[in-house]
Amino acid sequence: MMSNREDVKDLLNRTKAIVETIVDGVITIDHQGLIDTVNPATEKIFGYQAEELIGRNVSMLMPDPYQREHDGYIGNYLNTGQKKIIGIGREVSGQRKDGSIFPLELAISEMVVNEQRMFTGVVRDISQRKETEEKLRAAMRRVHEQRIKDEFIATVSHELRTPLTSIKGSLELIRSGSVGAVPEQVSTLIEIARKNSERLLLLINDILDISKIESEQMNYRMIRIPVRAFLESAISDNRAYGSQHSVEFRLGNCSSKLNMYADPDRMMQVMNNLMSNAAKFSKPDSHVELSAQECDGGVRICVKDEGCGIPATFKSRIFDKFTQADSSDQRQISGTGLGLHISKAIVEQHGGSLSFHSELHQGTEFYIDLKNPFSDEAKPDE
Amino acid sequence: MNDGSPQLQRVLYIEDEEDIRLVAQIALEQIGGLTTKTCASGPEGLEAVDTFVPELILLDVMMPGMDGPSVLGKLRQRHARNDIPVVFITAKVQPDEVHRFKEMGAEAVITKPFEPMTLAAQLQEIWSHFHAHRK
Repeated sequence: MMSNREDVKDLLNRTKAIVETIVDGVITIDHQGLIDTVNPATEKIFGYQAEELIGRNVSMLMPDPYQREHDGYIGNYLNTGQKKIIGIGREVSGQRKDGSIFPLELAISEMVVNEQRMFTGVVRDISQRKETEEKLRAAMRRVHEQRIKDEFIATVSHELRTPLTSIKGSLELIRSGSVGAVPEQVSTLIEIARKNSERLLLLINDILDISKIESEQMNYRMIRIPVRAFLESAISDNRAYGSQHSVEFRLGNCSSKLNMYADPDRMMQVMNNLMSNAAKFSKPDSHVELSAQECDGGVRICVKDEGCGIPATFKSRIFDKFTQADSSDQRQISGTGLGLHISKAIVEQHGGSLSFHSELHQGTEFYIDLKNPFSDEAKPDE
Repeated sequence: MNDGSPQLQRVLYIEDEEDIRLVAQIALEQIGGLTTKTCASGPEGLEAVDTFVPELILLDVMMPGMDGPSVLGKLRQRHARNDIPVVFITAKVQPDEVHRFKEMGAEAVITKPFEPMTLAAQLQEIWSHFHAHRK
């Protein structure tokens, strides 16, 4: 209870201070929709000065269609008592002085002042909240899409490999003679089927890799790898393939102290690709040499063949997808034409580069350049 | 040939694809000389662990109902013979997935399509490695 005039004055001052400092806009309007008072937050939210607002219809703070229909809302409420917004908070759109439209939360209450029905609107600019919500929704959509793509890749991988397992396995068993002898012509046809199932498998593997690379889903398990042991292992893994082409892989210069930082499986995939290419494009009874050295503080691995070289017209396209040199000889050479594209992407996703130097009819050198966090301890010992 | 390590003799293969079961059975029995039992599902395979008493389980990863990791989990948690080495066989071949399967407790991971001519030898090598590390 107010005991004296000072108390009343004090209360008014407090109330005024609250209204003037509150972050929400507070607007009072009369029964005709004309603005009676606005607080400073309203000015800030809508970009108007108080004098530009007072006495004007509140619909000026609304975009179409609210602007046109606003007077109708008030009239309808005053005549019928039917509430659309009054007493109920809701999200609507506001319009600033500069014409920009923004989302706002609006709560309206009714009061009677000097026997006149008045309305108080409390408005809160929720642009930032809406923006955050939209960003969150977009991020969740991306996660969802990524999960769908992950599942798709896993399913495609499984569904394509499963029938291939039966086909390849059956053909291998027939070919081996372990389930009985087959006539020569049948044997020839079985071999054709087997080779082509092998080719299909390579294509599936490559397409899955491309899909992973392009959606940046390739995961790398980065560890320190002793380069010499790695190259020896690559030679051992590819020896049989080299023999099929009468090509011998050998280890050239490589310090046993040299280390690199890479995913061993993926980097071996790159080596397998470079070495199988080198064997395929080499003359019979030639050599392919693997070497490594410290280079610009990093590690450079070189795969050098004595093959036919890369035609000048093909050099600019060599890392493109589904490309192989288009000469009559080389069309006979198997492969998906995706291997170098994948290898380059893998090396680049390691922060390195894949490049080459080639002389026609003399040979080609491919270089894997990796940055080396162990370069201080990787000085060649020769 | 015997390098002193025990020879693998009994393999249980759990795989939902009938054609693959047949190819693997021929490969393991006729090429590898192993006694092999095949099962079409995880629950059937878990039952066979008691009746067939395998030395090694070859386990498909993606199967309807109970998948390979669930079978491995049940075998390790509840089964009396929970120390049998399990080798996953899978068409999901991304290196990170292979790593994950090993972390689950698989002794090794063989990818599909497998080589039928060398499948038994591969299992023998895994078996020998398992015993060498047990010692």
